[in-house]
Amino acid sequence: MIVTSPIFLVFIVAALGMLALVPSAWRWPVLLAASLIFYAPFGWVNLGIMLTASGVTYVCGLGLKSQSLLIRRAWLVLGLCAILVPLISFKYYNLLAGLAEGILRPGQAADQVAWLPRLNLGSPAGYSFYAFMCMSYLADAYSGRVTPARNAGHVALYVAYFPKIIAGPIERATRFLPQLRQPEPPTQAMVILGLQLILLGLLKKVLIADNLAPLVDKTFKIAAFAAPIDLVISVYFFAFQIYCDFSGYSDIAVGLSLLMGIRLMQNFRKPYLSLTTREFWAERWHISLGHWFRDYVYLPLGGSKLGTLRRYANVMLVFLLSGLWHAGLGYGIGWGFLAWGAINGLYQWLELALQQPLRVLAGQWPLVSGNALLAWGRRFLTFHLILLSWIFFRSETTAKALLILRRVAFGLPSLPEAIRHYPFSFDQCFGLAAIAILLASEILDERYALAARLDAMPSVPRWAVYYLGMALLLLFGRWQGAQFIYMQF
Amino acid sequence: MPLSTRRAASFIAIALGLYAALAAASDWLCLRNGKDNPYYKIRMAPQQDYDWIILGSSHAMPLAFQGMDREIELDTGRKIINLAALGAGPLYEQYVLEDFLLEHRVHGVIYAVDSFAFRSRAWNEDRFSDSALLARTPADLSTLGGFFRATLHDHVSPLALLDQAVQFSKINNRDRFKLDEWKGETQFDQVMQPSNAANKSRIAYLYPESVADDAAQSRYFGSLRSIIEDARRANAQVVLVKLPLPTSFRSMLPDEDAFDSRIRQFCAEEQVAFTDFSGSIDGDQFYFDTDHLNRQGVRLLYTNGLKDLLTKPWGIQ
Repeated sequence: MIVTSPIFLVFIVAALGMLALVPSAWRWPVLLAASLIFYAPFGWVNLGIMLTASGVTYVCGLGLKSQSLLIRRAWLVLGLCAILVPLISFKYYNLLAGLAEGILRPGQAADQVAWLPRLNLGSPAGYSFYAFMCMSYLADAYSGRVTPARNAGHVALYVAYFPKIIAGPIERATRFLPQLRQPEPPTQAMVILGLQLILLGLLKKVLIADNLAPLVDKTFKIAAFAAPIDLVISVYFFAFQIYCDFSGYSDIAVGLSLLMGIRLMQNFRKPYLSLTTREFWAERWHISLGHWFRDYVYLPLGGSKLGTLRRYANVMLVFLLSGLWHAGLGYGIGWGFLAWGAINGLYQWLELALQQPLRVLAGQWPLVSGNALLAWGRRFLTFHLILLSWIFFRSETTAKALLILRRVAFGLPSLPEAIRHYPFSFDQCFGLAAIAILLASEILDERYALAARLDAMPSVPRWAVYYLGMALLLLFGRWQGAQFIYMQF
Repeated sequence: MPLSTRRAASFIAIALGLYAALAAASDWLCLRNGKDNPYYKIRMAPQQDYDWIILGSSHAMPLAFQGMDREIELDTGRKIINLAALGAGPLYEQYVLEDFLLEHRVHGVIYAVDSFAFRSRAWNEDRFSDSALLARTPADLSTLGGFFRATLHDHVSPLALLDQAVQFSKINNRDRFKLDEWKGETQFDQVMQPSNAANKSRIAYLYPESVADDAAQSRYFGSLRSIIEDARRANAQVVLVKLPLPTSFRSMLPDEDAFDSRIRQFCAEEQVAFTDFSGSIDGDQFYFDTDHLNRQGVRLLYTNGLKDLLTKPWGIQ
């Protein structure tokens, strides 16, 4: 079920109605039933895999209550393997089989018959997300950050909770389970905030992302023949398509949860206003994934405490793993994702290396370091560094990404002239206007707390803003658009 | 009533009011920019009585392109309304005819059959849910009634009925300010460039199911039977025709011979006249694309048989 479909509207009204009718203690069974109904249309096999993953998590969680460190370790390893092996198999089996063939029979021509079977398993909807939730639950139970749930239904709901199962946020059990143990009906403030977030999410997804998608797809499909200016426009559009698609889903998920009395973590915080790529990945973009990698990969590997070299290695490893996690996003499972991870890892290396010299410079020229213009320059640079890496993310192959880069570089000198004579279509103008409004509102919110000011306004202007948003959705939203990008993980 | 409930109710009431205003404005635009949609044509039909109504898919649409319908009307002296629609199979056209007969009279129905339209849901049940068609279908209680019956009896998605009821596709129509005109009409005077690849891709589009599903075909022949029964109840005679296709295209159609024998058998059972024009016009100069007649082609078809069919005395098939 897709959250922008009419069926979902019927579903959510029914679910909210049921939640309003049942006593607090019955809220979790209703939410669990709703989550299973939501997930069932993805297929019984997928449902079975998801329930198996929650069963494994629950059982291993109980095992982690043992007093013996050895037994607890065994349960942790067992649980992590049971979750990770299918994740790797679903995503990379075909790729790994091809790789193995290449290594074992290096002389074999590409057109020869493959001798390892290709399984085309395909990842179950949302597996990458709920697998990470299962693993964080087990790791937290092992380290004592979370008390393993006695109630299997709570674990199943933690894994299957429908607003987040498809595309996150990758919620932690430490935050989620206590809300099931002490359920509270939503307050009026939660309902209002929830509805605001749903409206914002829909505007991002249906109005911006889905209107940009066909323009991006068209150019990327014929990248070898597209004019450099078309490629440049499409790369910029893609940066906002993926942001609005993914953060739109997160906003809707958080908003829906608030209507049901559950608080999920914020997953995006105006990422394109980041001053550094570190800030982008650690504090503003897909925050739940960034924190997951920090807590369960980077810190256990020693983080920054084991010397400079280890720190650099750990950072790169995190980004390479993040690249692997993103593989299979409807743009193929190519090396492009690994390249994308490596490029972002390199950015981190660069920023780490420059950290100390820049600090010294800032100490010497405090006025320059606090200059607003310089800050905007840093934001501009950061955005374009990220933009560059998106080309590898979006292209099906690294060869295609390099081709796009070559063509863009080749066309750069004539770009100002090309822009002057470019016949912008209505859809492109609409996309540009939508992006400009989005950026302007995010800048104003960052600087003047626009959302808080809107909340403090009298009803008439506030409602006018809401009605305007709804009218834009109705008039210009692309409701027949494709599913959310991150659903394909 | 608590203050918060009152405020929520006011918010929803205003939102519904604004929605209704948008729906009304969208319907007005739909009527202002309407052209090809069969339901629009029915609403805007200048008279109540017609001699012929033409039903079918896009292959029958060129008969009304760029004033061809007026030209034919003037020459034959018959009043003709062409209600063929893009990708419309017999199920969709069954409800179009039903809607037409509510307020109009007709002497004869010409149904242009195409094998692709009898194979797939895409050209029948799913046509009702197509937002492009819904966006151009005027708001009307009788149309809504037809959609309701289609949902109830013919497994059409309830979402199509809901959409028509709340006018969502019309409000959300991106081409709201454009004329509802199929781009084929602007190419009416062009001559096709023969291409095997274009034929293949067009056939793959028209025949999404590689193998004909017997149950589906029977269902759509049932719709054709309903069209014949509705016409007869309205004292109208029915003629089935197969419109011309280029030989290169026709020879690539899947299971065409089987369809031909089935349609002939059907016509014999139903005692309906059938005229097969499909092989009557060959040559690229008569088509503007892979499978649609251009102006020259329509004129040739008219002189080579369509005129006789249209001007035959009533009752003689």
